[in-house]
Amino acid sequence: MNGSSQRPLDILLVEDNLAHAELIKRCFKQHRAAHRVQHLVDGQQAIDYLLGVGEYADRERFPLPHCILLDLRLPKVDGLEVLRIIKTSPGIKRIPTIVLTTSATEQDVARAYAYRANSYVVKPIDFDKFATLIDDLGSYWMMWNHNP
Amino acid sequence: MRLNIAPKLGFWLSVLAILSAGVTGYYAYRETRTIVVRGEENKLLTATRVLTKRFTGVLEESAKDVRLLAGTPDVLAVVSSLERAQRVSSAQKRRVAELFIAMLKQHKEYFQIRLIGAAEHGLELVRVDRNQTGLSQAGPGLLQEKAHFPYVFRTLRLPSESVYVSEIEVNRELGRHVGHNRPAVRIATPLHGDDGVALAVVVINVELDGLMRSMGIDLPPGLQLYLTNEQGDYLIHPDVGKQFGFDLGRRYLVQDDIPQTGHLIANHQHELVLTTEGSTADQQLVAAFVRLPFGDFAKERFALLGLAAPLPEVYRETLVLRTHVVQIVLGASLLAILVSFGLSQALSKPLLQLVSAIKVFPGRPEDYQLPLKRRDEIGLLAGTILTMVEQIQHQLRLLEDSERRLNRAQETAGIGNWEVDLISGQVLWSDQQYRLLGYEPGLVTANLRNFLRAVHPVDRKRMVHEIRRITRGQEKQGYQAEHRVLLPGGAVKVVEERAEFHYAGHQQPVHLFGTTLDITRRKATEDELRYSHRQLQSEAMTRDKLIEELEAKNAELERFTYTVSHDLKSPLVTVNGFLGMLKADLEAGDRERVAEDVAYITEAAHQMGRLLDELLELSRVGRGNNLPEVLSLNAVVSQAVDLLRGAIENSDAEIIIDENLPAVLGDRNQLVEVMQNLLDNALKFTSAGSAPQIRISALEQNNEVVCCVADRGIGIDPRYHDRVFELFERLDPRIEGTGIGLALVKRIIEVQNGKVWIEHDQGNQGTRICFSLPRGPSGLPE
Repeated sequence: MNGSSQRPLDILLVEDNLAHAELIKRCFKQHRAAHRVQHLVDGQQAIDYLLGVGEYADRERFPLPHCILLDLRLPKVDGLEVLRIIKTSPGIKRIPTIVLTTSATEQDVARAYAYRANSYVVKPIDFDKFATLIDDLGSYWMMWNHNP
Repeated sequence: MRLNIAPKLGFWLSVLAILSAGVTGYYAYRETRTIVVRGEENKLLTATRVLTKRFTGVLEESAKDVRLLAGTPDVLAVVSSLERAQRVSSAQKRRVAELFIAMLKQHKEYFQIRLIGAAEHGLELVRVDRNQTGLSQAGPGLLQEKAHFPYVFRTLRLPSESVYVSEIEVNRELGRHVGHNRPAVRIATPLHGDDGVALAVVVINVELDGLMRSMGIDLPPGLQLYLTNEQGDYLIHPDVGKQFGFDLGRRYLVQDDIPQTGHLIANHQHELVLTTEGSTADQQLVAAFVRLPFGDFAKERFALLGLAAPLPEVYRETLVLRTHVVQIVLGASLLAILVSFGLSQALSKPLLQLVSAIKVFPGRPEDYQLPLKRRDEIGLLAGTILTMVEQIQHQLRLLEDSERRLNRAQETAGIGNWEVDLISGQVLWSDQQYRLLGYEPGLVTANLRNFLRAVHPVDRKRMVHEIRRITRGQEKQGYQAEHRVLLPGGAVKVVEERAEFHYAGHQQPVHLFGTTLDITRRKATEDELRYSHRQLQSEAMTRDKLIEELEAKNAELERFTYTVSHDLKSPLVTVNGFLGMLKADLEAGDRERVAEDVAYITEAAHQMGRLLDELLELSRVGRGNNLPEVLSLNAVVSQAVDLLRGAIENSDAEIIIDENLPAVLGDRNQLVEVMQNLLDNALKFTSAGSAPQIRISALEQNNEVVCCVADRGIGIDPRYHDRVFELFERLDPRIEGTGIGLALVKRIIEVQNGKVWIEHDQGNQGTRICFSLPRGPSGLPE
């Protein structure tokens, strides 16, 4: 993997499980990807951030991410609801959103795609698989080379 | 009938009879009185006439007597002595006196006979008086001169053989004779000498009272005698004071007292009969007056003779008649009453007999005690009645047959009929109606009370209401009702009543005709059908409900499984992830990182353990519930507080528990768990910088107890009030917890038939979680 060749990305991580968030962050670090990860713990925070309201009004400090990693089971506002809002709000609906979840039920997958999730990733129990996914994400942005 | 005709008839018949008897009696009495008066008048007139005749007769007799005396030798001897102017010897006088005495003895009415000489101023020669003691010749010293009296000087001028009749006058001549002061008539005749010179007079004094008395000796007693002169002056009157009033310068005239007599005096008529109805008793008279010619007829001299009977005396005769009439009337009335009564009885008795015979109706014709043998109208009536009764009975038999058929039809069909006379209130039931109401036909009176008594007690109130509605006229056409009948054996019958009003041309209904139909079997079938239907329905419902529940359970289970699989997977992901990290870190020899990785792994393992424990607890809540018991909330709260004592002391929290929290129905252990979870949350989600303050309160609402646990902590955004009760829902993942607590609370409360919610209070910070539970009975010991 050629992480250095990658442009650092702004990644918004919406994850209520702190351990999982730590895992993901470490993953990015191991691959020496200089991605800037913004971690939020519930659905409401994610919506506020993306719509730039409340404490997240300052776009300098809280820029729109290149990519969103969204857990489905979130406190306050459900991940699917957050996905629906992202994909129906002008200006942010093009941001690639990857659903990250422990649930592999067909129902959840179908719903996520129905709400136009860009990718649906079941949280891998296998560390390598997870790392590959994040790498792929970086390559994805390098390939398309465009910002939201 | 018995009370009317007979007495009425009797009464009026009696009245008629009494009236006719009374009128007849009165008329007879009146007529008799008139006849009596007429008779009395006639009698009086006759008597008066007779008296007049007698009087005239007596005067004629006296005239004869005086002439007889004048013709006697002894008197003639005295005359011849006077003629010769010789002195009349006492012997002569004595012989004349003896003659006179003999005459006086024969005629009681004569009270004095005298021989008066023309010479010596009419000196009396012989005078014989009727004294109280007897007859006596007046002695020489007592002889008087009488020439100045008309009866002397007038008689002396009369031719021989003539008779002078004096006026009726009061004898006032001296002497103790009986005629003193009494009306008298003097009858005299002259005695002539041969040369035709009147020498003496023979005078007879007739005392009129005595005369009248002697004449009227055969007249009825009590008659009053009146005698007047030509002018009407009373000469004889029952009241002596009125006699010879003119003598004393007063005049008492008969025409003043009885004006009709004026005609007699004026010579317009000869006799008069009259009845005076004066105001006083002595003026009420029946009287007869007759002109009495006397004396010198050529001069038409007369007196008026009258007889009178007092009217009461006359009527006295009729008194007996009156008494008799009254007695006869009374007797006749009594008889009339008796006869009327008898007659009315005779009339009403057969009528009553007819009535009592008709009362036997409808017995057999042989039982009728009808007076058929009578040949009068009663007999005819009886015969007619018998025919009528036979016809009626024939009709009745037809009617009975028809009724029997109707009854049989009703019995077979189970239909009874009834009617109510809405005016008299009389109620009629058919036999089947009786049976339908559980009575033997005819054994009880058909009325409202017995009807209601038969109605099943449960339906009675409704039927009373129904009947009241009808009687108040709230129904115009009729009504229909169903009710049960409690039969004497305890069996229950269901009947249907249908009734119609009949107006018969009136404004208000006068009759209510109804039928009663036994619908017990129909009802039973209906009930069975309904029951089956309901059964089917409820089975279908149960099935649907079961399906629904099953579906809900399925959905819940799915959701649960989904949630659980996700949340149980999470620690596994963590463990696996950090195991990978650990491997790399061990290879890299980064000890610090290794320790961190191990801590993550350990925490995940713990989390997993807690999750499993709490899930197990949650699964227990829904099944194997104890029966709810009455619990004191205070006891539940203090038990929970005890369990959390350590945490409370660490956080320095203040817990305020209201006194006398009400009693609730529920499971003790589970409610303690609820309270423990709520208190735990309140202690956990505190605002920074202030010690937690928790208040537990409760109030009773309807049949529920609402209990609230309020804190001054961080509060819950109203947007998430529903979410927080969901399984594994954690608003802030940074605060320790599994997200099961409130889900458990919700489940427990709902299983205990309550609800749980979060109350939003703008004014106050913090969280106020309330739950409701069924209220326990009040007044129980805490």
